[in-house]
Amino acid sequence: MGCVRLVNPVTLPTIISWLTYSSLLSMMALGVTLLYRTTKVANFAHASLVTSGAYVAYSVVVVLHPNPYVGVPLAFALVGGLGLLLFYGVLEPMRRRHSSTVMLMIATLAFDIVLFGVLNILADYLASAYFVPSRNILLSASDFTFLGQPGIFFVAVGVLSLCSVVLYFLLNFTTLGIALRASMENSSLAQAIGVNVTLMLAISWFAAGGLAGVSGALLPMWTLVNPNTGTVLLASMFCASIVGGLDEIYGAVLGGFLLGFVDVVGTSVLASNVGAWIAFYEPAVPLVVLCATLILAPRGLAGFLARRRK
Amino acid sequence: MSSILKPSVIAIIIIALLVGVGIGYVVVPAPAPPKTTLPSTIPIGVMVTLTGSFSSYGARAEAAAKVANTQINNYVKSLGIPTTFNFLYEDTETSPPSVALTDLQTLYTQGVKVVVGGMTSGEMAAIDSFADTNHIVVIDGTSTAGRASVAPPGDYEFRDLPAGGAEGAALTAAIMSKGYKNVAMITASDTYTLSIRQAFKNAWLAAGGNLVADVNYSYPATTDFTVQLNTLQAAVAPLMAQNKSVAIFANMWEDVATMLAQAKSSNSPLLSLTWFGNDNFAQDNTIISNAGAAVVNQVKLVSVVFAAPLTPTHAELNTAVNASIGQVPDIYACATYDAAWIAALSILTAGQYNGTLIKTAVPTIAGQYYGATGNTALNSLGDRNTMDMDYWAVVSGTWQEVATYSSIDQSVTWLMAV
Repeated sequence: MGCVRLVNPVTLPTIISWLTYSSLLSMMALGVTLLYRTTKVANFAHASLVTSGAYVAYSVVVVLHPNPYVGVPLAFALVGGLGLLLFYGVLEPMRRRHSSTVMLMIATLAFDIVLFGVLNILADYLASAYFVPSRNILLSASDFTFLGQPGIFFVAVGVLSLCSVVLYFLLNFTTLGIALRASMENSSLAQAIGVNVTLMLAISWFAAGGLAGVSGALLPMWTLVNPNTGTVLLASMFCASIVGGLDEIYGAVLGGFLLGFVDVVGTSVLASNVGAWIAFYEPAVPLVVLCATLILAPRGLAGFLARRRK
Repeated sequence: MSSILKPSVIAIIIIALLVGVGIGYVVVPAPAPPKTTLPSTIPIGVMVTLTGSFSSYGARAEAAAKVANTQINNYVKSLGIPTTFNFLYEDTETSPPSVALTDLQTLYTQGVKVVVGGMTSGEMAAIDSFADTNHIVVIDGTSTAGRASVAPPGDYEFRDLPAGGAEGAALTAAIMSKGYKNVAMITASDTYTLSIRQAFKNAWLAAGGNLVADVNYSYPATTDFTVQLNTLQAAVAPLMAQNKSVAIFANMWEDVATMLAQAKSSNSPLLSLTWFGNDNFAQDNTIISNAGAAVVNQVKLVSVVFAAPLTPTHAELNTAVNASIGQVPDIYACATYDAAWIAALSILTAGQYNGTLIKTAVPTIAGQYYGATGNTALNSLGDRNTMDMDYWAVVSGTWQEVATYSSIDQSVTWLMAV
């Protein structure tokens, strides 16, 4: 008597949704963290880089009609190239002129706006040249199922794991990785000992762009994509990156999964037990988690774990 | 006396009269055209969504407005009125609604006092204050949210489609007529869908229906519908366990496809229910291709849409728009076409390009006009009075008309089993 019985909506489908959503979000956040680590710039163009990945993959589907996953490697390469374009075409010339970090950040915002325009042009071109819908793109109907679960679940988790492992080995067990880490820690000192810092930065921008491209290419298998989808997700990407901790690359993955858990599982539990009205405030969840995490762990989850290890 | 009436004299008189008539016809100038104080070129703004997620609607509305512009100028020329209507197009970009306000301000600086459009209720709400302050008459063919959420009654905004109350009543009638007493509703947080939510809620509860869930979600920020699916499932589960009939009302936009696809991924029991929808996605084939025909077939997605009778004007518009962009105009394009004609006829009737006078003329012209969507008589609020509706559902993988709704007696006639 007097005991409140909680409704438990945490079923297998909810967990699958959490893992899928978190994997995609973590991939996006990985790029944000990587760039912040290397250049100390919050890259606002990451929004449109993610959407570019989606449109590259969709263009492949429209033109060649293959399985939607076929476009993922091309999205990695082309959007990585866009990252390089942003670096060599905009940021590096500004850096040489000693522009402040704030100026560089605003430049990424400007690049995002230009890219958003280009994406709209591409969408209109696809619609007029191929007579296909080029907005509100959803490709999940073409997805495969395995063990009764959607293919995007396996692919998203698998690709995130692969990217994390590759990044880990690259940064910790290769000469290139040592040079990259040296550039991240102290670029002046790295340059003094012969590291080509500009090249290292370029590699970071390519990798971050590639990660954005891959996550974007997988996005239409899970949710509706428009030219502004990246912008809609930008707050969540940054929250995942900051919650995880900007000091460690793997922090983005921690942040993505924590954010996804609170968003999908936490809000479901609250909506089922407190009231359906909670569902309306779901987009506010990342910001609440961000505030709570930064109060408890100002350097993010990765910083908190690192401090405990010491 | 008899000498005067000689045949030769009569013949001379007749010939003289005929010659006189001929000379008079040549010499006397043609009658002057009707007096008018209208400028030689009248700019009319057309605000449509040419980019963003509503761009396909915008393209059809733009094509319909262009057809209207040509026809109006031909009509004016045939009357000998020395005026040309020049339609100026602005892209409202779908989102955010504030773009529409910027567009209206741009048009105003170009001397525009009459506007056709925009294309969402949010846009109409965003431009209302500026239009009223500057006496700009706005005639819209797309917005159907409740008047209260768009503009005050009787101001400078007119809408030639009925407001959401009619849709709420039509949806209630359809769901009730299929024997459902329980409905779980999910609503996108948008001006239009929130208005439909209220209209449906009022009609449904007044009809004695039971609303078992009323879930709102943030639009377009929500990309994962797990929370919404879980909440709806929790609400309908007790009814399903007791074998009580319950339906879903998806008061959403195109993202209903995402929710359906994610419901399919999670084998949601909600897919065993019949889903009803608003006019946002009725007849939208991308919903079927995005979510997959099998899943949409399963839930039917019975959606209401305004019915435009195939009047001669409608048929002519179909041909012209099809020739122009290869598409048949939807109800919103037809209503935009009518809005353009009502705008032009109101200006001609007012005799001056003066917003206040044109506003006075609009209700009378709309009441007399019979265009591509039928008669466009407005109510005292400035919205279209009534309109019949059709219900479309996905049957055998395609959208098919399954029922009709009479706005006169609020009755539903089912054309096929759903």
